[in-house]
Amino acid sequence: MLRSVIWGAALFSVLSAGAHALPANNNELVKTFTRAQQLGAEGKFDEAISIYQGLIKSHPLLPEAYNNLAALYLKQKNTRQARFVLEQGLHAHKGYGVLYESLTAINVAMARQAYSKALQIDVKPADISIATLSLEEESLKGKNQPIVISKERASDKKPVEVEPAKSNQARENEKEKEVIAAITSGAIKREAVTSPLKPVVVTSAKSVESPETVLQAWSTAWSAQAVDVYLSFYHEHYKPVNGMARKNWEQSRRFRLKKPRWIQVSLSDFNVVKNTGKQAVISFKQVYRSNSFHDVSDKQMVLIYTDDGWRIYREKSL
Amino acid sequence: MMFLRILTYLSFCLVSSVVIAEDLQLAKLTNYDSNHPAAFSASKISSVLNKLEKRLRIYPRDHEAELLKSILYFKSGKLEQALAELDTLIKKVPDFQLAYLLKGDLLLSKFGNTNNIGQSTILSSIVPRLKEDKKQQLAFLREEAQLRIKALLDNKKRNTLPRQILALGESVDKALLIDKSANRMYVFSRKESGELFEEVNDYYITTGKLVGDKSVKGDLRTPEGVYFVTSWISPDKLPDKYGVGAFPVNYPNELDRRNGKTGYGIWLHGTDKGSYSRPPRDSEGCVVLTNIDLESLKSEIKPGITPVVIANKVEWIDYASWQKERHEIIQAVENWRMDWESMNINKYLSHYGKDFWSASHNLKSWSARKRYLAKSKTYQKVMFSDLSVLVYPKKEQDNQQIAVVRLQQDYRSNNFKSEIYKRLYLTKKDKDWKILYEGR
Repeated sequence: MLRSVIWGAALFSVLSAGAHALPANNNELVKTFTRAQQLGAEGKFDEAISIYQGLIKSHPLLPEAYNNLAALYLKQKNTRQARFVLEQGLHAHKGYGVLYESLTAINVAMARQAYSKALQIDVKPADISIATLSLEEESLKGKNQPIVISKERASDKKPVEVEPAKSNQARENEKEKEVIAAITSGAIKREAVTSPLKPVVVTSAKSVESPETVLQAWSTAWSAQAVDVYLSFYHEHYKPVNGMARKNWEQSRRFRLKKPRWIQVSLSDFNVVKNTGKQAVISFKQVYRSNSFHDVSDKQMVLIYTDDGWRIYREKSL
Repeated sequence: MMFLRILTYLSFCLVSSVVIAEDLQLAKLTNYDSNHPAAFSASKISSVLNKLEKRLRIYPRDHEAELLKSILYFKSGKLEQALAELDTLIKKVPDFQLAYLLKGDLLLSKFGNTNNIGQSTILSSIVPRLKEDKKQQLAFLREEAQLRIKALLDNKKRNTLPRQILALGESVDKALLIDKSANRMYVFSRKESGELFEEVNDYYITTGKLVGDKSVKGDLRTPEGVYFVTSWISPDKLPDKYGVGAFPVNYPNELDRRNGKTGYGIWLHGTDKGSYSRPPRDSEGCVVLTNIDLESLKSEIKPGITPVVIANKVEWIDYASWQKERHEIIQAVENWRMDWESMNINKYLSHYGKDFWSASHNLKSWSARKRYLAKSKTYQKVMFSDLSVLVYPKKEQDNQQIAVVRLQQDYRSNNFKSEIYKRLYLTKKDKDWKILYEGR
């Protein structure tokens, strides 16, 4: 939390410092980025690192820079710094699926090493590394404005601009309403919500955690291929739509979630058809991508509010 | 944002799983299950953290405290701080297996469900095909973790004293008390006043592979009773598995031998290099400490003097009961001394139980000898000092209590003079303590 606050503040100051701090045009940015890539490839890590650091400062919303900087730290065996950089990048914008994947890869590799030490298993100490990325075209759109890139956008091919300050303000107002609702409703839990510009700590009651938030968490568990977490979002009386037995369905989900090398699911266009507080019907657009498959579908879900929060009761494609 | 959401979501589950109604509970600290209602109190977490900080101030090499700090950070949602703490710990103690296990768990905590230490759903997929012995090792580490956490959260000791240690003589600075069921060794220190003593530290220990009291050679059990450290064996005279050295204790003691117990070589010793600690029940009967802990205690343990009381479960009693028991035994010894000095041979002999024995006597021959000697005495002066009282752990089947008294005896009479250390075993069946054994 502290880190995200610091980061948010740093980001804010960079942005408010004005557009003139940014390179005059994309060509210059591409040149700088390519130079960093070259230096990295030549093994001149320190020089490459300082260029990426500069790029992150001037272009805080450039995921490739975070990723490649992390990759270089890994080459220097500085896993902690690598993870730190990736977490920073993830705090900067929600859609950096690529950074999330890199972070997962590092954590899993580190965990494997830790477990093998714990159990005194001889595993070849493999170097942890992540792929170096080239600058994606999407990252360069938006001219002199801070650049937003996300997998979501890459998949639906719809350029997304940074939301104007006013809209951020509007969003924060909504958050504030949630806070007030939470405070007036009693039972308070802590939840951290970070917006790209300014992290805010929102205190909201469990009872007002919206079904949409739960679905976002559901999709993230799916993307993380964390099967047990994913399955925990389903109500105990959830019935698969095709009449499959619950146990078989769980098995097939387990398989489907674990099989791809990576999965990225994003949800958008939420439409609350009904929400009585005990039951909610919600439709939304679901973009599913994995290393082998790409699918956009419209979904409708029925959620039921339980002692543990909202749980998925029915799920169907429209 | 999406990443943050799941982070937030998961960390909420984790935080909410720590139910701290009265105290932090073991189950809640080792279980990451999200189905517990939230009753999280940051003040409880911080009070336990303070306790750990205090421990580290007293004993900077208390690596267990560092491990526990990391767990608490994690449980209060501070994952990065928890990982940083572990990394520092691993740097200092590169063979602390449990620290690695926890690190793996924490790294994966974002991605999988972990309902116990070393039970991440992801563990099996990233360390595939664990052999049986490794599965066993994992179970041992989990057990070690639980015992260490349990010791931290154990509040039974608050405002209580161990019935096993009732008095420590002036020459006895330290006493070691072992609780086999908790895999813990407590170190007590004698206060200047001599009246009371205080617990200075406690340590995770490894005991015999099998539970229960030792009775025969090779039964892989740790004996229960009152023992004394007899010597120090330096590591250069020992195989590697004993680590930084060993303190043998006097098993089988006088009572053990009387009861026909066999076996030998019950030692307090260190750990083979390559491992910081050993599983909870892993020795052939010895009490195993980490090398770091043993090194730090080495100068405090005195061969021939330091008592080691081993109980399956230490009896923690309130101060009033403790005082009563202490007084009762000290008074019994004092009455014996006075009756001895008084030259009333019948009164003197009344302090000996019918099962009494010494190195060369039973009650009958002892009585005859004493009656004979009494005839030559015109006066006797008996003085006791440096008195320690240690009590055997109570067992279900026992119909008697046993205490061990070690004291310095200064004896003078018209025709004899001696200054010796004595060891007495006292027994209480009904209402009076009787002498069961008397010897040096």
